[in-house]
Amino acid sequence: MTGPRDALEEIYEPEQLILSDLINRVLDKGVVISSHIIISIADIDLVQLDLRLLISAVATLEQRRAESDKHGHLPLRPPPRP
Amino acid sequence: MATYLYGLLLGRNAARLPRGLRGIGGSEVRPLASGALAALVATVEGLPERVSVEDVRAHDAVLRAAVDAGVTVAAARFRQIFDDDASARSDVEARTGRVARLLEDLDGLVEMRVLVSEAEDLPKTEPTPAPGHTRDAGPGTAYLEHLRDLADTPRPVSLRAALGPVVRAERVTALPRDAGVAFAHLVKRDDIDEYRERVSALPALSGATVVGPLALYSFAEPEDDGR
Repeated sequence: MTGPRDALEEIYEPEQLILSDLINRVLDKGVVISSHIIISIADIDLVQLDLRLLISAVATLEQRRAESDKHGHLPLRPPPRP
Repeated sequence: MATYLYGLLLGRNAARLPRGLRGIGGSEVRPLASGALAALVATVEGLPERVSVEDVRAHDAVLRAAVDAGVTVAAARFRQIFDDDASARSDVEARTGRVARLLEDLDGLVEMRVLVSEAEDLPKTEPTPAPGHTRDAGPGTAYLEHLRDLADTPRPVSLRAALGPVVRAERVTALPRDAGVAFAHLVKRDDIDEYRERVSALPALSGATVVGPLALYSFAEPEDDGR
């Protein structure tokens, strides 16, 4: 059975990857029409991003543990949100 | 008040857009006829200087709603704002030729993305370590360093051959802060299920995440083409 830290990383890493990709493609890809300043990825507060992901991962882990206690087994790992 | 741009689509497809679409700050999203194209826009009162993750998500969510309705959309880069609708229309029409040709060529296609967090997950293609790179670096670090070094040259890794003809084109990006690698693939809408099956059938991608279908982000601007 995975420990608390392993389970947290199991949730945290895919969400971090998905969010990183979301930010990268929305800020750095796509058609450029306007001549106004384009926000760069450096303008995103990444420390706050990391904290947000960690909080989300902890909440998800707690929810899964609650479901485990209820059903007597760990639920199937949900697929990461696209 | 200003006009915020989310993306561009062929004018004839505008009728298929979902109704009641809301964007950043809950603003109502609507099509704005611009020559042969329609611009997906919303009226905004002004945007704060600080960028929020919610705004980034909202921008993408608008485009995904359009794609889910069956429309091929060229994503606009984040936070493009115009003084008003007339200004947005004028700027879009100035670029109608190239974008219209792109959307005509790619009508019915979507962008799918395979996200890989560890370089060990990728099909093994050993790069030659660049000068100045430590040979003692782990394979993951070495791979990502190599991708960064080759940002302006043809990429060393590709999934295109492994996934087969469902992939019409590919663009590969190293994600910031060593988060991983993103493979962007141009896929016909009808081939999405087959694409997913092919990705899941590859042992090297067992830990990968598939995202999509998306608007055209990586294929919206010309590049030295891997198509």
